[in-house]
Amino acid sequence: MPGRQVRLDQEIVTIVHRRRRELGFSATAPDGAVISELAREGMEARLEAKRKRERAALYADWAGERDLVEDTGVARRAAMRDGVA
Amino acid sequence: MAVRRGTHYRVPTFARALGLLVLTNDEWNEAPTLEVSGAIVYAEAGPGRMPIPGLPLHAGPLLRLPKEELAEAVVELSPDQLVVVEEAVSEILGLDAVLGDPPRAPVPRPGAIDYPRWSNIYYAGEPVGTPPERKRYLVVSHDPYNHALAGGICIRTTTSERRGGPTIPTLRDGTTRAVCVLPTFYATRSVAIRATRPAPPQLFMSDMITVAAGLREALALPERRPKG
Repeated sequence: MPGRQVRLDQEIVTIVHRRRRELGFSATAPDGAVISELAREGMEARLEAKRKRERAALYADWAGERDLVEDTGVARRAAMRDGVA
Repeated sequence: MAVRRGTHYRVPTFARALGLLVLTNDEWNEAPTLEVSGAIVYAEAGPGRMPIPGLPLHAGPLLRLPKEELAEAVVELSPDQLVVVEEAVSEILGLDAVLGDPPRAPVPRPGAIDYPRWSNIYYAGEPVGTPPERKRYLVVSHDPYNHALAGGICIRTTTSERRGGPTIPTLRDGTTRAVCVLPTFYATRSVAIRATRPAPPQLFMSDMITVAAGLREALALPERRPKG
């Protein structure tokens, strides 16, 4: 099902027309496809940035905690013993 | 030393390999965590190893390694080089199938079961802690890989309440957490496949979906976009 029509800022339309090649699209790519791709990438970038902030905050909270450390190095020693590394 | 994802570091303690291509996400790498996970880097081709385009290097099984064992950075992979490794790791972990719509278990392997199996939990590695005990590991690589490599990619499970989040998700029982951020290869000989098994000995698909999502985020593996 095609997406519904939306009103875009003139600035967006201008950039898509003037900088299409710079943005990595062919001169013949339809405006709709170009704008959809840019919107998708923008949403993915925002979601990834959010995930990164959340991960950084979570891991920072664990600073100094010593649980989950007793098997540090166990996997490497097994890999050496088993001829993997 | 700052550790960066997508970078190959020399590991002097290795006897048969050159180093490690770090794949854990950079927030984890930058945090005061003790270990990282990545693909073992070899100079030679071999089973389960993929050539890294443009470099005389091959990426092999994932390994969990103390940060302090990483020596100098040898090369930072370009996005085009890294994506080859990322796609291979995603395939080995069956992420596209498990996280597909509808979700599917990775293709099974008929025949004798003489290797650690996908979605099964085993005791693995040497005994650690006080009193010494072997830790529980969940196998996350698919069975054709596990058979071919005589071992599997595993992640630890824990009941520690201090960890959590998308890369150490809580499973359906509400208490077990899967440490998706540190996947590591264990050869079959280091996995107690014939001995007494932990309870439960296997996870259901709903938990494996949770684990697959955790692995994808922990290793920052790209979601494969449908073609067309």
